[in-house]
Parts: sequence; C-alpha cells; structure tokens
Amino acid sequence: MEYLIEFKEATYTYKSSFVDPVQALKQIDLRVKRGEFLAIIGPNGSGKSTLARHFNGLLTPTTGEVLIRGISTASSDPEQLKAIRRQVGMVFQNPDNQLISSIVEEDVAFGPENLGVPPKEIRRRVNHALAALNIFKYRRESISHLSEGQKQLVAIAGVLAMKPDCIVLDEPTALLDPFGRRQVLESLKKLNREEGIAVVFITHFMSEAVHFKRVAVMDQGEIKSDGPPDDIFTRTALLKAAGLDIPVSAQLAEELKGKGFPMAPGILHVEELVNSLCQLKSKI
Amino acid sequence: MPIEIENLNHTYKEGTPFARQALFNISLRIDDGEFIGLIGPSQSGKSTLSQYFNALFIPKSGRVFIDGKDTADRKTDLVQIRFEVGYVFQNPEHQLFKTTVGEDIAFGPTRQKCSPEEIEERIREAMELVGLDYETFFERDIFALSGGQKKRAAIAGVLACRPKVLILDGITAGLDPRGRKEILNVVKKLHQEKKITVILISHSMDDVARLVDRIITMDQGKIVDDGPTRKVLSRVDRLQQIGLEPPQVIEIMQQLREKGFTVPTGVLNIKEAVSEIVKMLNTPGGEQSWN
Ligand SMILES: Nc1ncnc2c1ncn2[C@@H]1O[C@H](COP(=O)(O)OP(=O)(O)OP(=O)(O)O)[C@@H](O)[C@H]1O
Ligand SMILES: Nc1ncnc2c1ncn2[C@@H]1O[C@H](COP(=O)(O)OP(=O)(O)OP(=O)(O)O)[C@@H](O)[C@H]1O
Ligand SMILES: [Mg+2]
Ligand SMILES: [Mg+2]
Repeated sequence: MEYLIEFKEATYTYKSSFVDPVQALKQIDLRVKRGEFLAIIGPNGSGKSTLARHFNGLLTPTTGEVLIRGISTASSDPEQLKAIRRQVGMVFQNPDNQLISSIVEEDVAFGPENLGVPPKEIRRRVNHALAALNIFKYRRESISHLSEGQKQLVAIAGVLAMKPDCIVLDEPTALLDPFGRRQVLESLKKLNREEGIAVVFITHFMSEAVHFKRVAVMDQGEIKSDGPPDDIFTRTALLKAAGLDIPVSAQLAEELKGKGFPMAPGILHVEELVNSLCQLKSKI
Repeated sequence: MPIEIENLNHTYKEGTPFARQALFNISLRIDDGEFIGLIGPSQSGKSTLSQYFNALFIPKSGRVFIDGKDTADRKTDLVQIRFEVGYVFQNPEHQLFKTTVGEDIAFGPTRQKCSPEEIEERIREAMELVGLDYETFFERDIFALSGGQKKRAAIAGVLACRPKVLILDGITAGLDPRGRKEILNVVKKLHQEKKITVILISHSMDDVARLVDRIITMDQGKIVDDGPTRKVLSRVDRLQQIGLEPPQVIEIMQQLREKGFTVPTGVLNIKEAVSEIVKMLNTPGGEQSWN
C-alpha cells in the first residue's frame, strides 16, 4: 500500500562551519498513513524538530530517504518539491518565525495566494480557517497586537487554508493557555475526523498526547517506541527512562494499585479513573 | 526588594488609532521572599504587568516602586534593578542575542563587573542548574540548539546574574517534563535557601498548585483574584469562567463529588489526592453526602 509519508533508514547530521557535527537522527523508520492522528513525544534535544523538518523536505536525510506519497524529498524536480510542500503543512514552535503579513487575515491568505487559488475561494478558505480556530473576530487586527497565544492560532489557520493532506505541528501549544490548547486540539481532531487530514503533533504535554490514536516516543535520535496511547503510557519504565511524565490519572491509578486497590487497567483519562473508582466503591 | 504597584494603567500604541489598554488600575504589593503564581488566560496582561516588575516598562499612569525606589524617577538606577530582578521571557528568542551559549550567559555577570574567574564559575553553575552539559554546549552556537535547549540557555543567563527577584514568564513552554520539574525544583531551592522572591507566570495549574504560596489571577487587564494557593484554586467556577482549568487533581476530586462521594476538592498534588481517595474508599457507605 502507498503510505502518505515514509522514512526509510533515514539519518540526519547537522554540519556547519561553526559547530562540530551533531547526529540528530539515527536510523529512523516511520510510516504515516492517510488520516492518521499521531503524537510525537520525547525529551529536549531528542530530535523531534529535526524529524519534523523532514516531513516536507525542509531538511533532507544525510543517509536513507524520506518519501511523501512515494516521492523522495531529495527529488531534484522543483514541481515535485512544490507538491510536497503543498501536501504537508508545517506549524512551528515559534509563531513569530512563521507569520509574514501584518494583518491577521492577510497572513492566513498568504499560503493559498501563493498556490494561485482564485480570490473567491481564498476568501472562503480564510474565513473557514479563522472560524475553526475561533479567531474570526481578530481578522482585521494587526498581528503585532496579539499575544503569543493568538499568534500561534493565526499560524495554524494559515496552514489550514492550504488544505494539506497532512499537518505537522511542532509544539504548537507550548505558548497557549489551557483554553487555547483545548481549542487547537479540538480543531485538529475535527480536521482529522471530518476532512481526513493526517496530523503529526509534537508536544511535551502528556495530557495532550493521550488524545492521539498513535504515540511515538523519541529519545537520542531514535524512535524508541510507537503504538496506541494506552499501550505507551502504561509502560512506566520506558517513560521514566526518557524523562517523560505519566498522565495524572494514570499516576493516581498506579499509586492506588500500589496500595492494594484493584483499579481497572490502562487508565489515562479523568473519566476512566472516576468510573473505575465508582465501580470499586460499589463493590466494597 | 519589595515591589509595589499603585493604580497602574498601561496602553499599547497610545495616541494612535491602534491604541489598546492592557492594564486597568492595578494595585498590588509583593514582599521579599514570596513565591507567587501569576495566572490568567491568554492576553489577560500577565506579561505586560510583569515587565513593570523589573522596570522594563516605566509607568505613564500610576506608580511603581521597586525596593522603595520610584521607577519613573530619573535618579533611580534602572540598570541595577534589571540585574536584581531577573526576567526570563516567554520566548527565549527574545532573550538570547549573543553568538554562543557561553557568551550569552557571560553577558550579565560581565556587565555586573564580575572578575573572569567569577564569571567562569557562574557560567558553570548556571549551566549545571538548567541541565546543559558544559562540555557539549559552552561553545555551541545559539542557533544550533533545540527549542528546549534555548529555553534552558535563556534561564541560565538570568540565573548567572544571581537575581534577588526572579520572574519566570511561561517557563514551562518548550521544556520537557523532566527539565521542567528539575528547573522548577532549582527555583524552589533558590527560593528556600537564598530567600529570593519568585513570580511564576504559568498556564500549568499543576505546577502552580505544587509550588506557589500565593496566586494572583488576571483577566482582561485586571486582577480578579489574589490569595493563598489552595483557596484560589478551589474556586473552580471562577477559574472556569475565565477559561482556566483547575489542576487535574482538583478536577478528579470535583468529578468524584459529582458522583456523590464525600471528598474535599482543595487538594494540591497527587499525594494529597491519593490520601483523600484512600480515606474515601476505606469509609464504609460514605456515598451519599449531604454537604
Ligand atoms: N542547527 C543545528 N546545528 C547543530 N546541532 C543542532 C542544530 N539544531 C539542533 N541541533 C541539535 O540536534 C539535536 C536534536 O535537536 P532537535 O531540535 O531536533 O530536538 P527536539 O527534540 O526538537 O528538542 P526540543 O524538545 O528541545 O525542541 C539536539 O542535540 C540539538 O542540540
Ligand atoms: N507589543 C504590543 N503591542 C500592542 N499590543 C500588545 C503588545 N503586547 C501585548 N499587547 C496586547 O496587550 C494585551 C495583554 O497582553 P499580554 O502579552 O500582557 O498578555 P498575557 O497575559 O501575557 O498573555 P499570554 O498568556 O498569551 O502570554 C493583549 O490584548 C495584547 O494583544
Ligand atoms: Mg523541538
Ligand atoms: Mg504573556
């Protein structure tokens, strides 16, 4: 079958005149299908952002290859590279590096404009993206007036307006408040569910990662494990070794288990914990 | 060095069609040795207010006294204040401006006229505190760092100035869970041992609950709550009204109560929550609650 994105034994080493070489990716094999909902977690410096930059050819592997719908990101055909950039949208950690225009809606229109989308359709897409992220009321605002959180929402709207097959987001919620974070996560879920867009989401918040259908754990340039969240987050030893957090509900369940209470297995969410406690109490 | 704010207003782009008032009549006092959490939804004015705490902003309307000195007074030594009140920005890119990690961390101590030996010692200490290996990163270009490594370098630069007051704006953004815990523990230790004042601006209610003694809540440029941590965080309705979420442990207790269990909601960490749940499970019946 054809994968949307395929890493084949990809490695990456940063080399420049002023810095000793740093090998940031070792032997990555990763396959992403259409419509997947994937979170990537891992400690600082483990290679997540480097990996993300390979998804649309911003970086190309030092050895091995990365294929987007079967086409290598190292292709020398500019048309194919353009197609790859259109298929995979990127949202970075720092919105300031991504925003180009000074007015919100102009910034969101920038991507589709570059693709040569007709004005009427641009207007439709921009309005749709702004509404999806709940920032429609700021459409005429100057971006410099926005706080960091709002800027990130604008950056995401800009990518949405390009209608990509896959969106890769590198810690898009790092600067958002809980409300903004929930909004982003909910919008991504909706895009994934209703429009079938694949989402690759890098985060340090385990409470976000548990919402994904698949979670990959990176450590020291490698993918150390990859699977559904209830599998990943119950491997406490693995998470601890990578310095990652266990979700609060899972921690509580584990502590209670340690005290001899027969908690249900695989608890990740607050509701699951509360239900398990209700059952327990009704048996006592 | 206490910080006192009286009737402070702040308007961005004042006198232009883009004018926007970000602070409305703020008054507050922060005493020596306090550990404060400053919380509030996005754009509620937290970063704007805290830039008055170290005289990055000088009031046009209202007054700010740092260590008893009016920051609007020309005779006040603002440079000195900025060393003593360290500010870790939300976004490390706004803070790192030298070429290498070592040079960047050395910048503050150099301006403080420390001897070369002292500078060297402070750099090593600061890098160790934030978990950046000296051998690997001392000479590393800033641009060749990962996001979390940049954040750590920015924090190290501020710690190297040995501030008396430490403002951490969105410190957890970009740090991995272990780094966040370790650096917050370092901050807590500095607070306990060196008696520094800490102002933690954070969207992580779990961190705030775990660490701070007093919480100031902002919404739309105003202070809407100010009090002891347990009290402020257990007013769940009020938090939710302005779009904040209580810490997860409080949410769990809240949901258990909704199911009819008798548990207190004002818990601040996992240990407290476990002990309350065990108590509940061990109390026979105890399902119905009449309070
Ligand atoms: N331009 C560069 N030159 C040399 N080394 C680099 C460069 N950019 C990153 N690195 C190094 O490569 C490794 C992987 O960095 P990367 O940014 O991919 O990590 P990350 O997992 O995204 O971390 P974080 O959680 O801090 O964002 C790190 O050790 C980092 O120091
Ligand atoms: N440089 C600026 N120019 C104009 N307006 C600004 C500027 N910086 C902030 N504002 C506005 O001031 C208000 C308060 O912003 P501030 O950055 O203080 O909020 P915050 O509570 O720190 O938000 P966040 O949690 O997103 O960091 C917002 O309405 C914001 O749009
Ligand atoms: Mg990164
Ligand atoms: Mg802020």
